[in-house]
Amino acid sequence: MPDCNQTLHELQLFLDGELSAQEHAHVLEHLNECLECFHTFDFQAELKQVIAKKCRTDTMPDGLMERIQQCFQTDGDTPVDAPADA
Amino acid sequence: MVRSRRGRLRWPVVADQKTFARDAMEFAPQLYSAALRMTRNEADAADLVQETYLRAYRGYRNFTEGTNLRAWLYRILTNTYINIYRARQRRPIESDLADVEDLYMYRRLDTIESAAASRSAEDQLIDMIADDDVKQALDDLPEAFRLPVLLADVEGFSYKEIAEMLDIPIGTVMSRLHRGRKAMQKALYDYAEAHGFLGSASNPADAT
Repeated sequence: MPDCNQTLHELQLFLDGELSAQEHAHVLEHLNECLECFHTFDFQAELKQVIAKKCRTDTMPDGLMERIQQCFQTDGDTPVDAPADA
Repeated sequence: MVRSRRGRLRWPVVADQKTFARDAMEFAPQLYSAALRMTRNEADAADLVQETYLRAYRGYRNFTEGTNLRAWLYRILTNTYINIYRARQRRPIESDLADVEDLYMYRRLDTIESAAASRSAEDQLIDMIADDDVKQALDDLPEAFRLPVLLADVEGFSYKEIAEMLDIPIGTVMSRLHRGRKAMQKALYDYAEAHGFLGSASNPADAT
């Protein structure tokens, strides 16, 4: 089983879903045994969720959707093989 | 449409511009929200989203159907922001962050917790921080850190996707995320403290 230092080292990768299935399982194994690491992970996971939730509450200004649809129509004759990347 | 050898009409595999509005417009609200975090300005955010859709519409032929349309749109959004709007924004040079201790907020709160509150109170505490304060903490990050945190934490993209969008190595994505998050934690902790959310344990005046 990985120790606390090793586990904390993998905290970010774990929370971002970037560990392999096996590595993920190892961290989980440690978290099941170690309350202290579990609380740290739990807190960081909560923080990540709160950031996600609270930073996407803006609503689009009225009319923007229509403005965009409109520009497709006026752009209708543009050649379609324009480069994809901006 | 192209004609096959048997003379039957069939649709080419490339994405059709006609289906663009149907498939892509549903992402507009989230793109706007991300654009606002990038530009930190409503008028620029609206223009950025419109420009993103126009570029996506024109380049839709190059989008491979069956791949991730949302990631493709965010890539165009990010490129458009970097190429056009960033240059326009007159903000002081902001390229680095002060070093903050790992697990900053957690450790600080943990100290308070052992003095006063319960574990669940600590989780509620983060949730008490107002939306605007969390947005402000993100907006205050230097761009090199703001974009990775936005794309990872708010938008949920993988390191690989973010590395492609920002055209930086995955290791750089990871280190910027790490430092950006630490700085956000410090900012959020400071907000919580300033708003008196930390309760009596953090207030020496109440300790008597």
